[in-house]
Amino acid sequence: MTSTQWPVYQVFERPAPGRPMRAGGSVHAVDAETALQNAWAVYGRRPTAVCLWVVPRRLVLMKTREELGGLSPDLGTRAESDQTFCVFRRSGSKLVYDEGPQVVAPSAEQAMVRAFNDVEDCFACWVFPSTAVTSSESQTAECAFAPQPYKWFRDHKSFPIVALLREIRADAAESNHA
Amino acid sequence: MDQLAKLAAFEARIARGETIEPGDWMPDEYRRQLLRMMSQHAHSEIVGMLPEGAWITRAPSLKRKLVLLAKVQDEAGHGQYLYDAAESLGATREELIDALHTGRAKYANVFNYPTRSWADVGIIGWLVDFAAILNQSMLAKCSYGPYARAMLRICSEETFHKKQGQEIVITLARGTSEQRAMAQDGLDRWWWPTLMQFGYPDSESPHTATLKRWGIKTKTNDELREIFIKEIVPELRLLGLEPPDPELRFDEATGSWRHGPIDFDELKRVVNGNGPCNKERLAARIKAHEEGAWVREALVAYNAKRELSGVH
Amino acid sequence: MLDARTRAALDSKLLRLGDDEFILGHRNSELAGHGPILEEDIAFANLALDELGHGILWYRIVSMLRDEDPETYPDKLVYQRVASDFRNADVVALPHADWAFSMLRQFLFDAYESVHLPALLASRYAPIAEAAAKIKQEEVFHLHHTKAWTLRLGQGTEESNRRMQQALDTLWTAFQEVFLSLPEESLLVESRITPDLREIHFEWKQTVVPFLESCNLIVPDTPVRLETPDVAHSTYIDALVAELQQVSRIGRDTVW
Repeated sequence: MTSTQWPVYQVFERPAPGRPMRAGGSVHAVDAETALQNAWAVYGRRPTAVCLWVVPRRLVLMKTREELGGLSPDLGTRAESDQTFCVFRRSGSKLVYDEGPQVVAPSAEQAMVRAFNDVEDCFACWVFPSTAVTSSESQTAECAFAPQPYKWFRDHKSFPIVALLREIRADAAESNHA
Repeated sequence: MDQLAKLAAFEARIARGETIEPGDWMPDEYRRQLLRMMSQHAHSEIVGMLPEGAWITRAPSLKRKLVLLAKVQDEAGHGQYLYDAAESLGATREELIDALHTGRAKYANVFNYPTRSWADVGIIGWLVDFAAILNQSMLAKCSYGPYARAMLRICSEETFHKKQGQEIVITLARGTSEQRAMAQDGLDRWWWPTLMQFGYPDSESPHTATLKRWGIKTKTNDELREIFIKEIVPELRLLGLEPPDPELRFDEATGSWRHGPIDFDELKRVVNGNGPCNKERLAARIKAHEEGAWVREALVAYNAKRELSGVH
Repeated sequence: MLDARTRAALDSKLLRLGDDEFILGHRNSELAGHGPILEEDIAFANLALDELGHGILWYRIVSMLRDEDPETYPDKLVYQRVASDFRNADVVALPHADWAFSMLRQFLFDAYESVHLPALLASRYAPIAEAAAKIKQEEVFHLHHTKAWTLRLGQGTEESNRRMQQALDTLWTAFQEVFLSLPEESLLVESRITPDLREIHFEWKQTVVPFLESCNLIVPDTPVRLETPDVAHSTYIDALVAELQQVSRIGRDTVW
């Protein structure tokens, strides 16, 4: 690790309570705790996320359908070494990677193949061990990664341009008539 | 599959409206163009924090102060999204930043001009960010996944910036004669640099056709420039503000706006490092980076110590 | 209802609270675009935005106390007072020296709020308790952030430790002024409107000193008696307010 090239953590966010997680961007950080704080600063400062995950990028396997080629899953019997993998998929014409059902598999590659085959028009998929996740929800109440309330300075209502322009046009029309 | 066949398959995917992800095959030129565009865009956001950031301490009302600080923060965020998207093509953030600091990488011309008054903050927010929005809305549909996703996020945040800028200018235009003069003076200085933001005329842009075919550009520079003028000139005139162009008029016959000549030599000079503030802007970024070295080293060292002691 | 003397004491105290937050936020806002790491630039701007917002919350209560419009009066407080009428502790107006300095100052302040705000929640003056509740939500996050940074910079490298120590040496004595009671503040304490700052000060030292020591820092001796700082410091606020009001001074009641 050089002093400027830190590990990358992928960020995942839940846009609202009850909605599925989706992939966001990523942050550079030295450790998971800083990554979560950075992710909250970058992705949590608007009320567009109620929960964030950070996962070291080196633990995320990313494949497109093209890359996966003709691999088929080795559907062997479940072994003790099986892990639970989180799955995020880009399907159909959607641009965003949404969370899919978790997969239990002996390896990330196996989990990847199963995740692809589970869904019809999956174009690309990310998998990572569920143990690799650091979640804003798992922190103690002490650090309160609470969803940001809507700050007035990020609210469209604070900048009533349309109303202002209408007012100005009305004034201009009036003074034209005068 | 040989290279030609791969290229044909790739272009067919784009024609079908498919999104390309980092692991997919892509022509070297596609990768190169995207990396250039994304890194230039990222650098522009970061450098763009400086001309407006200089006015946070002097913002003349509480609303303006908090809004401006939030805006500058957003710009850092946009740079962050874009550096990370650019990394998906193999560059590291360190390399990208180094390219900026050594002058090898370019960034938007506009940020190489000085902000001389509070009105400039409004003018930049309205004009420059509107120009950026036009560019960005196009890119949100770009064929490269990471760039399109970053752009979606940026577009939704950028609309605030334009509104905030416009509100400042409206307030000045309806204010005292001193404020109106301040706004007009700002427009006088920023009008041409903003038009230059759209780049060289189509006749001098060799890449446009390829970029269109690869789903990176959907409109040409001149087309975007026209859309910009069409929307903004009537609104400026409604406020009693006039762009510094005696040749600016709407041509009924062609249904398009005619304007005076843009000094593309100036654009070339500014983009290549010889604008009024290039050195100052880069110096500020280099200083922040160098003065931050000990901070970054400390964080690395702390983490190393924790790993050694087995704490995780 | 409040008698005239208590009212006057409350007015001064609220201005002090507001000015401490606002001026600190103003200083921190200067760092936007100049941080050591992009992600931290964004995070620190959040802290600055919050502190400015907290200042405005206190100013709104001053407005109500003075029968002024809480939507417009805070602007007058910020843009029309002369520098000598600002009531902040000098330490929040000190200019940025290096990242260790600004981060440590923010940590000391966040730690003070973590002790002060719970006491303000118990205020018998409802507006103070309500404001404290709003502020407390954000301060928990602040403290988490600045604590993590203080630890990392204190323990990181020899250089980061040296810079943190230097920052602590500069800030420690100056920071004690935050706990200085204003004249007539005893009226507020008696009426249970605000807590006794001596207790807050003690509690703050109880948590902050061991923590700083765990960050490999040596905490300077605290002066036995808190004194108002010397005149030299106040020149920082003069320059700060001149810059703050540079544009607004163009016209006293001009709308921006």
